[in-house]
Amino acid sequence: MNRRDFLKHSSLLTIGGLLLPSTILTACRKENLYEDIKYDGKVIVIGAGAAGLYAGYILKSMGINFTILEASSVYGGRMGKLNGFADYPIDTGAQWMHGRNSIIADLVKTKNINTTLDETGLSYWFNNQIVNTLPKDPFIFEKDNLPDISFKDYAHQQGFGSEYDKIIEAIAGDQGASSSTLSAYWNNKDEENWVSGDEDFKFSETYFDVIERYIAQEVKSNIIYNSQITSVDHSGDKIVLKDSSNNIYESNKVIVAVPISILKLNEITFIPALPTEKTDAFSKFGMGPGMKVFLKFSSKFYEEVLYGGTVCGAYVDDTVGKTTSDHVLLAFIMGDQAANLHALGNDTSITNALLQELDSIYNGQATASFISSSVHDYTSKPFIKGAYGYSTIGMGNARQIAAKPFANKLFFAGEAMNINGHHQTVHGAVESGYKAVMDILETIKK
Amino acid sequence: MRALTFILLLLITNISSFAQSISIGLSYNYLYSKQLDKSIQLYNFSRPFLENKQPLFINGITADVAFLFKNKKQIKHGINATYSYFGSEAKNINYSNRFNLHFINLNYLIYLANAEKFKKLYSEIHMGVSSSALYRRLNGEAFMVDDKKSKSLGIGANIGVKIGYHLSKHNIHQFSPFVFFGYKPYIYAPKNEAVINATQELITKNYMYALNVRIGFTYKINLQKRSDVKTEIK
Repeated sequence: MNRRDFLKHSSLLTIGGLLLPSTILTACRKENLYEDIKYDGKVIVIGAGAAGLYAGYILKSMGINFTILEASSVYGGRMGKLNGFADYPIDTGAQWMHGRNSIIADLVKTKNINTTLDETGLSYWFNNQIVNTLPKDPFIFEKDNLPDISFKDYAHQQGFGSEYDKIIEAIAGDQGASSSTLSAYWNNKDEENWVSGDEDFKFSETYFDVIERYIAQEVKSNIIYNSQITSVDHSGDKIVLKDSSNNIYESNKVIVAVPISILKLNEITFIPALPTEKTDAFSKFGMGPGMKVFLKFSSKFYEEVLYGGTVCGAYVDDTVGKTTSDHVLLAFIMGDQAANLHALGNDTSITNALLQELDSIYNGQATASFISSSVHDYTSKPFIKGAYGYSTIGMGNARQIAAKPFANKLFFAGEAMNINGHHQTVHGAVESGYKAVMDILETIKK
Repeated sequence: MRALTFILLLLITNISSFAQSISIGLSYNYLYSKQLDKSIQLYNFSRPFLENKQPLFINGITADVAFLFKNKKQIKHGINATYSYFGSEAKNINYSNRFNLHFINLNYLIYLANAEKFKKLYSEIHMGVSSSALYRRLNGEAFMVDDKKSKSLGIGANIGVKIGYHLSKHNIHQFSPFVFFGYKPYIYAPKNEAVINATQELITKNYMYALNVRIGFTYKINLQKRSDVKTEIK
């Protein structure tokens, strides 16, 4: 063989030798997870909140037969929309998109949905006056080596006097908790996995619209409403679900996408019972009372955001990011403060308590310019019973245990089941929804 | 940047003075990384609202430069630096998403050539450090999270074997096709999944490994005296 021939043959062999395996290898490498898996079983999703809806959306995209059973008469869970209260639609539940690095942010971008970066300035009601800065920075809960004690105790340990208590309460309230029950250590541990970014965005319409138009729309024909599941019998080959009207449903897999409060309170009976490890994990979650009260005024006399009220930890100008001529103040009330207002028993008393506090802060301007209010007490909603799941003292790996599938039949979703640091958010709920479907498909793959 | 360029030039000049040969290469690069595949597959799986799916990191391009130190033996040693680029782009309405993946490797290399036995065939063994950088671009702009570029940096090790063939008879200038098999056994890159799928360790751990095959050409200049070169290349 002369040199020319050798070169010709060797180069052809090299190119062929490389291209052939690379073509075969490339063909083996699928662009989608579980692309080759076909599942002809039936999946039932309990709960039509963001997690349940998204689980349904993914099941639909995989061509899997599914039904969503919703206890109430509407979908959305802790998301909702109020029309007619102001000249713009109001989010009665989740309203901020947290961060721009998330699946929801990608959806928003894809659908060209208008959002506004919320850059509202924070003020404080401190020592009976409104201030823009505090003598000491109270945001001390994001660092390493925090002790497993409450926010309140940690703040005291760090030299924050009782004059800071209501500010710390508002900071804990952001996590849906009271400062006396939220663990400084475990809350920070959860935050370590947060990769979405710290910016908050508001929708020119509502967050609920996004979920409704682009997720619920895809699955609404598969939802059965007013079906409160009371028992899940997973002892046989088929899983048998019974609702409060004694309707029976059968499936091969079940995604439990109800709020953690429902599992904590054992409102669904599992037959056979879930292992103690699992039920202990449920009980370690905190899910405190939560309430949003919208107060409409004839003029704007209030700060954009005010932390530190005794009745309400955080007052927020709800019109930021909206096209409106109305003046709507949101009272964002969590934990003990929400429990106190809930105990008043009716919307008028709740509104009056808030107006009274605002009057004391703003010299009577609240009552003078008050038009109307709309109270959304999530504690009193029978299928929700609280705000969102938070990490209590001694939480440990309860979230991971709670979210783990059981017996290849029961799968868990919902914001509290997000093991990825994004719990307490809509995008965290959505992630848990598709994770539950992944868990199902993993069992089929095996 | 100027300082870095200056240091780099200084380094190259310095190394060149000890070098027997300098070579530059360009190659096609086929990449397989289970962890990167999984992250993109998860991205596609979890976003059914995207009509056009994000392709995997498969095809890339690599440029490399190598210095062989002065040595009259058949086994020589030297250093080598490579830069590789891989892209993954999917265009959807309102949403053109691109992931750019870069690798820079710095290697110690052993050059093996036995002119008597294997004529113009040569081989190289590469061992060294590998760094990776993954970026996201959305609608043609760098994707920013909290006013910072969304990025994932990684560091690890790599090994590889290169087999080449000197085409020309020229003593000073040599042109060689080659094939290279590389393996990065461990690259610590904890944010890869966060950049791709906006989640942390949902489907991958904080590291990746990668296999790659390159095919390309190397242009080599021998810097030593002609008489020395002649004894080597027959």
